[in-house]
Formats: sequence, C-alpha cells, structure tokens
Amino acid sequence: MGQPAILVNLNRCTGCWTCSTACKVAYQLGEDKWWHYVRTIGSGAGVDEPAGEWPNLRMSWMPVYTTGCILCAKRTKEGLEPHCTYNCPAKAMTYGDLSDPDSPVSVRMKQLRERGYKIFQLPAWERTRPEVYYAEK
Amino acid sequence: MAEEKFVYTACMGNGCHEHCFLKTYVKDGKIVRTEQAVLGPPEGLRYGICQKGIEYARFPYLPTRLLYPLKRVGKRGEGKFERISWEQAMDEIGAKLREIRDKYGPEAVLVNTFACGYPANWTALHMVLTRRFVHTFGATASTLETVDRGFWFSTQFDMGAGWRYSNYDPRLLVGARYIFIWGSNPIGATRATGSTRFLLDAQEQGAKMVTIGLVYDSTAAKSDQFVPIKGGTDAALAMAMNRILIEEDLYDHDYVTNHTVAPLLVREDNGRLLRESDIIAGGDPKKYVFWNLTPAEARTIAARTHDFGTSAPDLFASPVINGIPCKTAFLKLKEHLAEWTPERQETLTGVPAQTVRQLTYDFVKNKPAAIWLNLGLRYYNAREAHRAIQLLSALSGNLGLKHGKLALIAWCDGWPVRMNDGPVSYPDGPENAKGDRPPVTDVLESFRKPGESKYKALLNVMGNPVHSAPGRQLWTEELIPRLDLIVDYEVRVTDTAVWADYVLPDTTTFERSELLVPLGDWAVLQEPAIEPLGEVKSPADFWRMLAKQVGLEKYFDKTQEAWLELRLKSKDPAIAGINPPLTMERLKKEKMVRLNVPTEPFDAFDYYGFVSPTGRFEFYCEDMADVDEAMAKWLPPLIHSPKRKDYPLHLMVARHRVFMQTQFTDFPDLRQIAGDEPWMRINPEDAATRGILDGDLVEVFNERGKVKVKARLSQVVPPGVVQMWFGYRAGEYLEGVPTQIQVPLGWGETQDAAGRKWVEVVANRWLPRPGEKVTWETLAAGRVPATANTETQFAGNWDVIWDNYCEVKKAAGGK
Repeated sequence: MGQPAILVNLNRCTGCWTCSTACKVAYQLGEDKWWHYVRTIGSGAGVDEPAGEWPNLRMSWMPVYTTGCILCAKRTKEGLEPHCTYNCPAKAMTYGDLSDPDSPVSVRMKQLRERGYKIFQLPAWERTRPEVYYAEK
Repeated sequence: MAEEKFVYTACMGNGCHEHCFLKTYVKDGKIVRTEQAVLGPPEGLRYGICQKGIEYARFPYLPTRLLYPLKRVGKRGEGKFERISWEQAMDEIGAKLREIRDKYGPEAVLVNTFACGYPANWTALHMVLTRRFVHTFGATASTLETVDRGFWFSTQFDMGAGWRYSNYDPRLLVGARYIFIWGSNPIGATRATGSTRFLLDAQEQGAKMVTIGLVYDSTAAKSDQFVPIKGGTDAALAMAMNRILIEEDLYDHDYVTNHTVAPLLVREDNGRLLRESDIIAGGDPKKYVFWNLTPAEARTIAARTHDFGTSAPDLFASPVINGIPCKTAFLKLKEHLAEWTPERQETLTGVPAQTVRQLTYDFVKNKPAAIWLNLGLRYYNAREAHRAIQLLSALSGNLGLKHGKLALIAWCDGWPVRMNDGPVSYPDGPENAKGDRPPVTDVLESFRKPGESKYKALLNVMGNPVHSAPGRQLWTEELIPRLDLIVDYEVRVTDTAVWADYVLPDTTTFERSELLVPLGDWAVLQEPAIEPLGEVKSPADFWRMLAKQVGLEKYFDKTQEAWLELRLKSKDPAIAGINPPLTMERLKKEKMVRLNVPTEPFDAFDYYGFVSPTGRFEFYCEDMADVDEAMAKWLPPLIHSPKRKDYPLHLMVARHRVFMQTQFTDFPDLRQIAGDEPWMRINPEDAATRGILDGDLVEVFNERGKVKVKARLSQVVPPGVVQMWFGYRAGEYLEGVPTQIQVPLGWGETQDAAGRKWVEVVANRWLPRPGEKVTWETLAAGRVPATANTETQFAGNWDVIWDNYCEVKKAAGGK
C-alpha cells in the first residue's frame, strides 16, 4: 500500500478502549503491555475525569498509537483492516491508503475537512506512529 | 499449520442491555480472539463489539473460571469447597430435593429465573428449560432481582403492556433532529455497541443531543447540551415541560385528540372513564364518551378507534351527563399540571426555569424529536418520572413520528419473533403446568417469618443476587440461613456461589450451541468454539441430570442441539415462512439466515399501536385512580426523607463501563482501565468540608452500615452526590459491600398500595383465567399459574437502587 493511514474522528470517539483491547488480545500482549491506549482529554487525572468545574465540564478521548503498533502489517497485506479500526463500536476510525484519493481514509478526511474539521497529528516528540491522523471540530 | 476457523457466539455480556454477538476465531482448539460480527444484507453491521466482548475471549482460560463441581466444606459464605464428581453432586442434590419435595411439597423449591445476566438472555435455551423444569416439577419460579420497575409500570399503564414496547430499532434514531437522553448513559457505556453508533450517526447528521442526568458520564460528554438534574426529581422537570405544552398551546392537537385519552370523559364521582353503558340502558361498556363541540352533545367512540369522523371532541369539556359530573382527561391533566411552573420545578430539580422553557421549545420545534429513556431512574418515584417523560412524547406528537418515538428498554433485536417454545416450556400444555410464581416481595418476605418460611431449597441457576441485589445482609442473614439446600449453576465462583452448598460448572457461550433468534432480524447459530473445558456441562445436560434425580427424565431427554431443532419448528411466519426451511442443518451450513420479516426497522408503536384498554395512550389510567395513581404526579424519592439531614449525600452505586454488572471484574486488562481495587468518587467541595484528600481511605455509611473504600476527588459528580462501584467482589472492599447500605431490592420496604394495585391490575389483565378476579390476597395466598407472563412477574415493588443517601468521612487509620 502506498501510504497507509488511520484517521480518528475525535468527535465520535467515546473513549471505550475497544481499539486498545482488540490490539492487546489479538497480539497476546503481556499484562502490562499496551501498543495502543486511550487518553482522556480532561483534567489529566485519569480515565474519564473531565476538565473544568461542575457543571461546566469538558471531556473527550483520543486513542494513542505507540511505536509498538505494527499497523497490523500482516492483516492489511491480506486486505483486512487493522484490529483497532475494524472493531471500533463508535465507528470513529477510518483506515486506508492516503495516496489513493478514492480510499476510505482519503474520502473521509476530505469530507470532514469540508465540514470544517481540523485534521492534525500528534507532534513528533510524542513518539507515536506517524500514520495516525486525528479529526476534530 | 492449522488455519483459523470462526464461529458466532453470544457475548457473556449479552443480557438486558444489548444482545450482542461476536465472531470468535479459533486456532488449534483454542480461542485466539473475538471481533465484531456482521449480519448479512440489508442489516449488515447492527451490533458491534466493545472492550468486554474483546476481553471475553480470555474468559474460558482465566484462573477464576469454574471447571469442576464443588461441594461446600466450611460454613456457608467462607468459600471453602472441595471438588467432587457430577455423579456425587447430583446424587446428593437429588436426595435432598426429593426429601424436601416429600416433606414440604415441590413449591418449596425456589428457582431463580432472572435471565438478565445469562447469555443469551431471554432466548437462551437455559431459560426455556428452566421453565420446563418449573412446570413439570412444580417449583416456585421467581425473578429474584426485580428491576426496571419504572419501565414496567409506566408502559403497563400508559400503553397497555411492557414487553411489546421494550424493543426499538436504533436505526430509527438516524433522522431525528433532536434527542433527549434521559436517565441513561448509552454512549460508550451501557449501549456500547448496537446503539452508540446510531446515536452518533444521528448527531453527525445534525441531531442535537441533550443529556438530562445526574453525573457527567461519557454520554454527557458527547452531548451538545448537558442538563444536570438532582436525583429522583425527573418527574418534576417533565411535568413542568408538559405544563408548558398545554398552557402555551404547543401540543399536537391531532395526535393528542386521536391517540391519547385526552378527549375521553372521566367521571368525577369514581375516577373511571364514562361509558355508554353509564348513560344509556343497554349501552356498550366498551364505548367511551366524549363531548362534541358542535352540536354540543355527548357522543361515544369505541376502544381502538382513532378517527372521530365528523365529530370534533372538546378537549376541555366538563359536562354533567345523567347527573354525573365529568371532565375530559385533558382538562384533568391541565388542572393537575397547573402548579408545575418552571419556577416550582426548579426548587426540586435545580434545573433553571429558563432552561426548562428552552428545552420544551426545542423539543417541539425540532421534530422529529426522540427520547431515549432507559432504566437509570431507579428511584421510588420512577413510575411517575417515566410516565411524565413519556407524556412529553405523546403531547408533542413526536410519538407519532417515525424518528420521534420513545426508546425505552430499547432491545435492538428487530422484528419480534417467536420460536416454538410453547411445547418446550409446557410439555403437557399450559393448562397442566405445575408451579408457582408469586410476587417477588411475597417470596422474599416469607423468609422473615421464621417457622412460616415456605421455601427450603434455592436452585440459583442464573443470576448473582447476593452480589447485585441491594440489601445483601437480608440475603446472608435471613434468606440463606433458612434454606436447607442451595445450588448454584455458574461459570465462576461468584459472591452468591460462595454461599452455596454445591456449585456446578456451566458452559460458557464458547462451549455450547445456542439459537440467537431474533438478532437484528436474523437467525444466527451459535456453535461451540471449543470443546467444553474441564467438566463443564451445558444446560441440556444439567437439567437432564437433575430431572433424572426427581423422576422427570422423560421430559429432559434431548441434547442441547436437539432442543434447538425443536425450537425452530415454529409456526411464526417469521420462521415458518423461510425457504428453504430454517433447520439446524441449514444454520450449520450458513451460520446465519435472514428471518422472514420486513426490511424496514421495527417500530413497536407503529406495529402495535397501544394495547391499553382504550387503545390510546393512557396518561390518565382509570384502573389506578383509586390509589391516586391515575396520572403521573410528584412523589418524593427516598433521598428526600428527613433522615437525609444525617446523611446528606446522594449515593449512586454504579458500575464502571468496562464491566457488566458483576461480570468482567476479574479481567486484568479491564481492571487496569477501571481500577485495580474498588473506589468511589466525591466532588472536591464535599471532600474539602470533610477533610478528605484524593486517595484517602473513607467510610461511606448510613443507618444500614458502612463501606470502606478509597476516595478519588472528581468533577464527574456534583456536590451532593457520591459514586461508588459495586461490581468488585466482597473481599476486595476493605470493609462492607456497597449493597449493604442500599435500600433492599424486592423486600417489603418498598412495597406500597400502588405496587399492590399494580399487581392486581396486571394479574387481571394478563392471567388466562376468564371469569376470575385476582386480588393481592389471592395472589399471596395461593397459586399464580405458572403461565403468568412477564407482566405479572415484574410488578409489585420498586427498584430503588439509586435512591439511597449516605455520609462520607475519612476512615480511621487514614491513607
């Protein structure tokens, strides 16, 4: 594939950890090993803790892909989606070839951009997979 | 190298939330993983998978998984067991059952029929075989954890039944322009899979999502507007909104006139609807009277008739007819709601008056507007809240719009389908069914009368009541000690199983066949993914072995698969109309077959209309008039009790979204997310006044006892509310368990006149004994035929799971 990419729509992500556990179970990662985890964007105090003061609160989530993630290389070669994007119950993620304008990820990215979403990536110093993009409005 | 094979499997969490199924991959005889399962066209992806379904792949191999029959060797509750054989277990259990039957009668054997925690819930073969045992042995069946009363009461009296309106196709949400999520946390939480996606789709397509709730959960975080409300006050908010709809003429005239009891005249003398038979000799008791505008006169309309033809009913009439003063139900509603101004409700709910107006106008200006009202309003007054909220949908006319509607329990199964379960449940026909099904409160309360207790054995074949049911000490101190025999059939040693005399290992859904019918308009075959591990036995084998002990072997002669084949021989056109015929052979080849049902999403309100006596939405219900429950009203929740001054905090005993009630708390990955120990949340304001710092050990207490847990300061809860997780096992709490300090579930504490009347009304509406009138006394004293259906077993008391207060203080010994 030319340019494999995962687009995560943060407006849809519900912080359920299905993506992270799907990866962990499929690859039988050890107890303390997560290639992929969910960051709560809130107060910073932990899972599902919001920012702000009652009742003016704000909370969202973002799956973070560590460099342990192998982008499900074997699966995608067989034309399958990565475990994370496939199993997301919120359907917040799209996978595909960014170099192909008709691929699902290209189409979705264009669609969201046109709706006014900003498309961004985590900065290099976070040392995460560079193939992951986020969309948020 | 062996390839991966797959089968379809009901998730362990498949129960009274979503009925999800999984695609299970197996390699070299071991489950490697589960993933999202997809139905065929046109339904495609209906259910998804959540973190629990993913982790479930590990369950058969966890050390806490039960593999062998156990016999108690210590005292009950110590959790000391020795491994024994099935033969020994069954011989000993059989001997005890026969002894109890001979001495006390078969109804002394209590069987727990609470299927909500058993996969695949109501369609599981185990559920049907349990009924078969009850009906042939003559046991007493009891749904020992009696929940969801707000739903069952309000649907019974507003719509005429509950079961029918429990189903809702979430695809209907996409097309709504406005959605209230009230008393529910579906997004990424209770409805992680099937429903979350549709709610988000609706939102992405422009629907405004408004959460009205107690705490800032994941649903609140995803909503466009979060309306915090004080616990147990929802009826006040809804009544204020209903009042605005009437006073400001924002209600849907046509819908209200044609589909609700609004125009029907109510007798002021006895609160019953005026009938033709009341005003004309020989008149029809099934015709109701309304007041026509021009010419001004009394006219009649039959039940289930929605077209007034050339008549135009006066919605606010108050005539005197044949000397009987009457008022329209609508006029009574208007008068009833008059005091519920936005300002009045604010004193109870904390919702600003201006917000109430904004919400009301938004709800009628952005049609179709749907209401997602699940089961989170577990307060004493849930019945009022549910009815008042449902009324919003009817008054606004949204209930008549395809994408409006009410999602109540919202099982997302699709079109209702019946398997051939009659002959399985009633092998000798319903008329010859033995067994008893008294009101749950009656069952539990009998344990409080030593010497009078009717029950000597408990077959806890499903459910985990000692863990989940509030009022644990009643179970451990009154119920359990009075039983001579306790058998638990389980997949792990739960907080209930530690009190059993025998714990027998069930198969997981990975180790047995099951028919998942209906599943989003499809019939899906669950095949075993692996051979049963250890000595676990499927329900077909369990019941066969047990039945043999009590001389009923002829009734339990089939394998799991043979039972399923019999269940498929249904006359329901949804199954019978499938070509080629739906058989186990066909299902084994194709794994899933589409049912013979329409392709458009199932809509219960469209399909059934209302099955109430009038055939209309009965916001005024005459059958409950004599206990002052004809219309939804304000009733204070238990947390408004004067005792609150000593225990000023509202205690919300909750489950973390990565768990499913008491299940999944053993899973290491999920514990990493939720917390490797039980904990509670307290708002920083409340913590500050109590000298509690983040991470301190605290005591959460009230007059019933105390629980010692770690406290976390959090803005998820408002000042005045604390949240504590209940799913961890008893030994994990440093002292006590959450259910010990909650008002008991199903015991007499929450019984009242309205509950007893409810049981009477339901029994008379639904029990198949023509000519016989059932009263609370006859129900309590004698038999309820085992054919009593869901409506009867879910009536009578109130599930006040969240209607609890407490105080919190720093525990002695500190952090």
